[in-house]
Amino acid sequence: MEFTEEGVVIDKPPSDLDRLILDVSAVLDSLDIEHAVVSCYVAVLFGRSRATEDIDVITERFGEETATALATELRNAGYWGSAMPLSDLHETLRDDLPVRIAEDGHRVPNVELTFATDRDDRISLENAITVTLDGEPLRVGSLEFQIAYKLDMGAQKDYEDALYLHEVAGSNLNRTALEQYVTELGVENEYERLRET
Amino acid sequence: MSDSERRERKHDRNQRDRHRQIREWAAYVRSHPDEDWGEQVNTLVNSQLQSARHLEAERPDESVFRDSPLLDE
Repeated sequence: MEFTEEGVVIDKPPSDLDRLILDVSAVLDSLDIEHAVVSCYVAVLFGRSRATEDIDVITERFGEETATALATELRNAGYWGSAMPLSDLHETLRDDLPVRIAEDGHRVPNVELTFATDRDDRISLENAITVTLDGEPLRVGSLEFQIAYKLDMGAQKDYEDALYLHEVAGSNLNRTALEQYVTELGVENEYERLRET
Repeated sequence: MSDSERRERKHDRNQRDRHRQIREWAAYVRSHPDEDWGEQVNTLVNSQLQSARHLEAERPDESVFRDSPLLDE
């Protein structure tokens, strides 16, 4: 794993979970839809050995025409809406509900796509970094914000994801940005505990 | 020592062990080639997904729960 000026390079063969998000991300890129992968999959991408079936992806808001094109491209790539038809994609996202995308006929693993709805989502989109996995690019929410956000979520598994990302990124983290997010989310005590762990 | 104190101590000890293991695994990932740790993570992720897929037909559809009064907003 190499941290560079342009992002992070991970040179491992993709898992089935990685393959799903690389494919869906390529479809989003082909339609110029700004997006960022966030939450627990980020820890798994960076090597945390834990199970997950869902990959959370935040996108910018887009209109019906783009949604129709996205649904078509996903179908052509062999994917379907595992919780509701892809033909309802725009209506579902517009109602601020997630769209679950999985390999045709399956429900796991799945990508949970949502529109950016709040400040946290916009931070993830605006400060996303590029992770190159086995030569393919993936937009991922900034590690600093992922750590602070996970500390704010509070569950044990979230704390452990934050701890893992904090440990694996180490001196490559932007401490100023991390501490700013920690302050903004009011998780100073949790961050102190993480540093002392 | 009461039962609740014993349980709390056990919980704290387990948590410390888990955190130590996470730190050690992160150190391993930092210091080994991606292919090395990647293979181990892929094995875990892929086998968990295979297991979940094996059972997915038995899972009730999400729509079954959507209007359930047992769910919060």
